[in-house]
This record gives sequence, structure tokens and C-alpha cells, in this order.
Amino acid sequence: MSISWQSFGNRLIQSASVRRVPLAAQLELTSRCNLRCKMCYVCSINNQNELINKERTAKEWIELARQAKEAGVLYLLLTGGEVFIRKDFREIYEAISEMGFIVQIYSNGTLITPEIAKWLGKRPPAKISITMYGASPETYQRVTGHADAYERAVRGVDLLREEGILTKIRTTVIRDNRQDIDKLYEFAVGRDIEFGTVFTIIGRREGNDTDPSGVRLSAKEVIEFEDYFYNYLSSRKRSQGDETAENKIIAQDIEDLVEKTDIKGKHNNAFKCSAGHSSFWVTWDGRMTPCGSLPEPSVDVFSLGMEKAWEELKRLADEVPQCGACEVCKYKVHCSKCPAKLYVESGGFTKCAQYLRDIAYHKELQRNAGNF
Amino acid sequence: MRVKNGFMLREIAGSWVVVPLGARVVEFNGLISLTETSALIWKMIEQGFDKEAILRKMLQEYDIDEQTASQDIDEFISTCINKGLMEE
Repeated sequence: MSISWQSFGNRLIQSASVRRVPLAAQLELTSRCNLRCKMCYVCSINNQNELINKERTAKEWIELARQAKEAGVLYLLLTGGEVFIRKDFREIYEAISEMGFIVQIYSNGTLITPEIAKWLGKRPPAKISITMYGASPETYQRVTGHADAYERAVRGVDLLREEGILTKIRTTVIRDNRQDIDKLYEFAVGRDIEFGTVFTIIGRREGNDTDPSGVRLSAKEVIEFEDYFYNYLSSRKRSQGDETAENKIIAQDIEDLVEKTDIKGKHNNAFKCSAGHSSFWVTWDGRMTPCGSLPEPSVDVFSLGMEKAWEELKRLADEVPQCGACEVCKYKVHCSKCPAKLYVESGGFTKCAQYLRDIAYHKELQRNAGNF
Repeated sequence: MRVKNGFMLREIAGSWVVVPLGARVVEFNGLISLTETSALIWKMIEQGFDKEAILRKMLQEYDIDEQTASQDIDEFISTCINKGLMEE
């Protein structure tokens, strides 16, 4: 008998991908959010009755989760929008937490009150990941449109920790908050919390007036910033002896498990991660897709039911073409392309995404510079 | 002995795992991977069988001698008790 996370999770996802059974599900319970981040890929205006009416009910999500469990899903991520904005989130979570999943929650933390933290602490998820958008009210104002959200996010993180809930801080780096990354890292380390960053922002899947492509770092800045942050971490480890996530046995991020596992074995599918092989996403309005960045292919899982929807999604995912241009690109070894990124960046599965290519080009330059 | 409330045995993509449910995550935030034999013992304990019945089933199902099977069962149960998954 062994008790483990990382290696076991990777083994399971390989095995599930070969069998084409669903292992990981990411459920986007709402598109509503109390913040208004410039780079959001799914954000819609808060408190719109129309959006609430289009959302699926708690009963529907609970039944979908039940069917997903029967189909073999073990890892379940609950995300949004902001999940705590749903008045019935407790009903959904309490039912799901008793079904036999490894549950993870994504939140911005700002709606977590002492009462919510206490409630969650009695039946905690394996992990809750709080996205923080800066290390000051000023940065929060620039990125989310709400200066006071900074203090509320800090309070949310501390309340979760007080309840002993395994918490992670994530951040998405854009031009407006890049100067805060060191402080955010220190915020996490000071609280003995895992820290994760996303530097490469891709275009929005849907949404209203957000502009991820307009506010993200340039390709050159991505590479410079990754380099800067890597050096900063190395220096912190040397001088402070920081023990960061990779040195600890912690619950594996479902998103990492899904996206960063390179599916082995022979398959002609364009998806090289587990998307459509053994994982799926369900949008707030009920579309099952291979991954959350991608609007198509999609199937109506609430009409078809889990079993039929999964069969149909696999068939559609298998039809997604490989990118021929990418195959002959001289920068392909450095490129983070995938069907989802190509689609939202270039509008198609077979066209080069200039932003990703530019990042790969700068990686190549950096590698060559490092050889001298 | 019995399995404590709040643990669920599941077969996932050809592997057996035990998952903590709801409030059990407070004390056990993890995942337990079981061999097929361990899963059989777990299931029989869940169904209320005693050690003798489990031993007979093991001898029926697997090419194993009685002493080894008995030791395996004791060891598995002892580990489960130590890890807080089962109780006397």
C-alpha cells in the first residue's frame, strides 16, 4: 500500500488516456465574477440576470458530477468566474465533496468570509488555489478594477490557512502587475504556501470587454521575465533556504496534471496533453469541451448525458487537425503550441500563432546566448 | 475490524484507490493506492467478513500458502489501522 500524489496521478492519467476514459473534469460553475480583470478569458458582468438564467442549476451540476464519477472521474476542479459568487455553491460543493473525488477549487479569495472558511474547513477540498493579482491595492485597482479586493484576498487566504485548508497562491503576470511578483512570492513563502505563476497569456475564449492580448507581456518580455523570476527564485533558495513546492509532498494541481502530462503512446490526435483523451471541461452554460481555453469542439453535456457526451467529444477531438505549419517550424521545440492556443490566437487549428512563435524565437535566442 | 466511515474504494483506470470523503479530508488529505489483493481484503472488510473468511477467499483466489496469506492480511489491516483508515 502506498500513499502518494504526483507520480501516482501521472500514472493514472497515462492509463486513463490509453483507455480513453475520463479521469479529470474541470467544471466552470459560473462566468460571473465580482472582479473585472483585464486579462480574463471568460469574465462577464456581475449580477446580470440573463447570465444567472443561463447558468445550470445546482441540481444539474450535482447530477453531472454523479455521472462523471460513474464514468471514472477522480480529479474534479471547480472553477469560474468566481465560484463563491453562486448563492448555491455550498449545496453543489457539499454534495460533490461526498462523492469520492479529489476536489480542487479555484477562487479569487475575496468573497471568503470567516463563516465560509469555517464551513469549508469542516469538509476541505484537497486544495484551494487563490489567484492574486498584485501585492497592493493600487495594483489590484489597475488589474481588477477593485482596489479593496487586495485586502479582501489577503483576508481570504489567511482565513483559509487558519482553518488548515491546503492553499496555493497563483498569479497571472501582465504588464500591470509584473512589478509585484517578488512581493507576491514573499507573501506566499512567508505563509508557507505553494506559489505558481502563469506568464504566457493567450487570447480570450469569450467575454465582453476584457483584453488579454492587449495587456499581456510581449514575447520578449515573457522570456526576460521568466529568466528574471527563475534567477530570483534561485537566489532566494540560496540565501533564504526557501523550500518551494517542488520539494514538498503536496496535492497535485489538477490543471497541471491535465495540461502538463505529455500523453505517451501512439495516437494521431492533435492534443498532446490529456484534453479529450482523459480529461474534459464543462463551461458555465453547459458545453463540454476538451479544455477551458477552447470554445470548440463542444457538445451539450446536459442534454446528452455524460456517457454519450464523452463519446462524442472524443470523436470530435480526434478530428481536430494537426498544425502542418508548426511541424516544419524551426522554433517548434521551444513552442508551447497546442490546439487550444492555436485556435484562440490564430482563429484556427492549423495556423501559426504569431505570439507563441515569437516566444519560441526569443527562447531560441536566449539558448544561443547562453552557449557563449 | 471495520473501515471507518468517510473512505471510498474506487477502481480508476485499472487501479484501486481509496479516497477520503467530506470531513475525512481534514485528517487525511491524500490518496491511497491499493493492490488488487489489498482491494479484495478492503471490500470484504467493508462487507463485514472476518479474517477467517478473508483468508479462505484469498486461498481460493490466489496461488498462495496459508501462512503468507494470513501474514499479508494482518499486515494490511495493521497498516490501515495505523493510518487511521480502519478501527478494531
